Amino acid sequence: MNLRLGRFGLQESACAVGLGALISGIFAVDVRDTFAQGNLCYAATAAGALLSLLLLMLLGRAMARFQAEDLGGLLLDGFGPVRGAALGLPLVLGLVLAAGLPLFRFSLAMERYIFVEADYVPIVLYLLPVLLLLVLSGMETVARMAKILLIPGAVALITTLLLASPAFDSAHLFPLFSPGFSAFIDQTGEALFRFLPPGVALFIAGRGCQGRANTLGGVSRGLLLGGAGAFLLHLGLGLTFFAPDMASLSAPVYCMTMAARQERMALRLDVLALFLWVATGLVVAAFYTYAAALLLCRLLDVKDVRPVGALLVLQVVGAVLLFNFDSDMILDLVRCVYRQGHLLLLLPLGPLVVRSLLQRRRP
Amino acid sequence: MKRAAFAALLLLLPLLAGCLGGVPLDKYCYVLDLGVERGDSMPYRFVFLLNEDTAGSEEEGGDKGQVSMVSAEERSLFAAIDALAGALPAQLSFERTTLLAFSRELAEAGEIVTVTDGALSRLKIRQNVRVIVVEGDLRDAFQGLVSEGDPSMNRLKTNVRLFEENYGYVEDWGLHAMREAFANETGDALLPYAGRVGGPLQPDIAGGQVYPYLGGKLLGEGQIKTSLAGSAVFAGERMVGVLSGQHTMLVLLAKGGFRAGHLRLPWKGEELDLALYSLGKPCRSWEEGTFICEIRLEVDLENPSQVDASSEELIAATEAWLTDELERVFRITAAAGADVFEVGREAICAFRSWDSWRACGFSARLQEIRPVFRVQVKLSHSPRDPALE
Repeated sequence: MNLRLGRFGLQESACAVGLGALISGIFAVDVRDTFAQGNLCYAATAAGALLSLLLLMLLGRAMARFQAEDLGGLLLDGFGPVRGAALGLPLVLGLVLAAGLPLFRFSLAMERYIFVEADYVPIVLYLLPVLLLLVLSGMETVARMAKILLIPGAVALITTLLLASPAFDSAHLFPLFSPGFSAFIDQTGEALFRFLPPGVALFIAGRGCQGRANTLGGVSRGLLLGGAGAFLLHLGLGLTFFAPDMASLSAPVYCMTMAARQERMALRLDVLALFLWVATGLVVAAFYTYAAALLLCRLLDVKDVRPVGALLVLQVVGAVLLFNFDSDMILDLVRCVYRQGHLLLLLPLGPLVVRSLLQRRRP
Repeated sequence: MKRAAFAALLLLLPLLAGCLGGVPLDKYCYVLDLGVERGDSMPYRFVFLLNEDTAGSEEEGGDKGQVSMVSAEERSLFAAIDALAGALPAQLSFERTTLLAFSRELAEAGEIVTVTDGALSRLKIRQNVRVIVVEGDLRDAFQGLVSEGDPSMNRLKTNVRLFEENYGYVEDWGLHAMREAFANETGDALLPYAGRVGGPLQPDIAGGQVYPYLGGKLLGEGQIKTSLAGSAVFAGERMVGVLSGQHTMLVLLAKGGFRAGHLRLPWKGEELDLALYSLGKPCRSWEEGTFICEIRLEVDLENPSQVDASSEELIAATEAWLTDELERVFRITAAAGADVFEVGREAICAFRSWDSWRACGFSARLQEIRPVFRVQVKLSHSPRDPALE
């Protein structure tokens, strides 16, 4: 057995989930479609985070009912080895895509605004060894890295908001609730794909978390903190740009740091903030990728997580490369991932939750 | 052993990128300022002020602070860069660009967007780069900014900030704000307007007396020959006129960007010099075609002992004069189709969707707006008692 799970506690779990919710909540947004008709994203982010928390709490309850220590075990216990494995595959795919979306946004920002002469592909390929190293190091390393990066992540969030604050204007939020209530429901659904993955990933790695209570505590605290951070940043974005202007930006979070006139001292802080975002984003991507690899190992009874992890890292990097591919079919596919990605997670988890609610507690 | 070797290899990786300074991969000419104006034989002339801060310059005895100016006439910015590629010792980089200057002719033709659209982001020019409109030949204007003590033209950039913060004569605009003003009808751009000292300048569209505070009308002469001369007023993407520093100050009073400034108040056939200080952001609102703006100011008499009047009289006169002037400037700019008071930012709050906002054609209805300005003045020096109250 070489699952590289290790042991980590409540703080590490909360940090991993918190950073995951923060990074996915901010950077896994389809900028063009979300802001084309107005800005509801900040409200949908808050609603999506709270709804995800509710769903994850129900999932935690299901694990308690089945006395499963992790999500892989729950799938196998709940549906048997064949059906459990089949239901687990969409989860793996969902986590791989969730890992790829923020990295795609970071790579775009670096290609457009930082590295003058570089192309998109070499920039993405630079992410590969770091991601591989983190995933192969295992969950304990990733969780401890997340704890270390909590302060830099908070610094990145605060720096970004502070740099943009001179450009804040409440008029940018208007027309208030512009695309309407149905768009709000749609965007809340999309937000589930940003806030479910960190919780699901921690449930998958629950065995290393020193007890179910720690896992649940990590998920709830992390999701609340990360969700609050993502909400604040989306509100900051809404205060900085009019929605149609934002729809035309490839990296709104980076652009918001340059929206206000700055004097020389603050001139390069935007790049520093982006560097911190990228470092945090890499750990989050490693967290999701490792969790996907671990789930696959559990479901297919593979004893070594490293080859599976390496394979999934290649898939994540491949997805990041594919997301930027200039073709209508790929663009439609990427749009589908943003809009319907949450179904990849909800389809397997929904029946589990329903079944646990209907089933009596095991003696 | 394997781990140690792997770690050593990782440590050596930065050498491949030239991060440790041993391998200068390329040399760059950093464009500090970029100007665009009409060309003689091609549509546009692009003027670049360069800082030849190249990787090997120190070793080769180069001067790090040295600047030079180059220009090229072409149809687009990319073509101009290509044309200059063979004539420069290094590749152009726009990473350090801090000023974009457009000639008045180009701004009046509404071609700023045509020239810059797409090009600036592809060249990685930062969104917060400062934008100004310049009167006359850009090469002359740039040359006028270069002095012995300040070869990189920082003085003009500092002056924009200084005049905005201390006097309210200009507003500091960045590329992002300008694009936003061009794209959404929520307010029009009011870019700093610069010209040669003593050279011809456009008259103020609001008329009235122009005081000799700013460039073009400066009573003194210094090393720097190009200076700020007020603000270029835009209606959408097209420049429609110029506002003097004093009238810009009135606009900033109503917009909320004003901090402190000076005013000459007509008083019994003479003029009183007043220092103005903002007492907080103005309270702005929009009520069915009426723009209401309440402004609170502290006024300080510069020579209190010379004024023969009560505080009440002076306060009433200042409030009345400022109210009249604000309304006058508002109506003149609205008649030119320019929403420099950014009334659109208040009006958009009454709309439920972007489609309905766009359909209403707010810019075309600017003249129908009824402005209501309420100025509240607090006098910090009483004319009868020059000591601070």
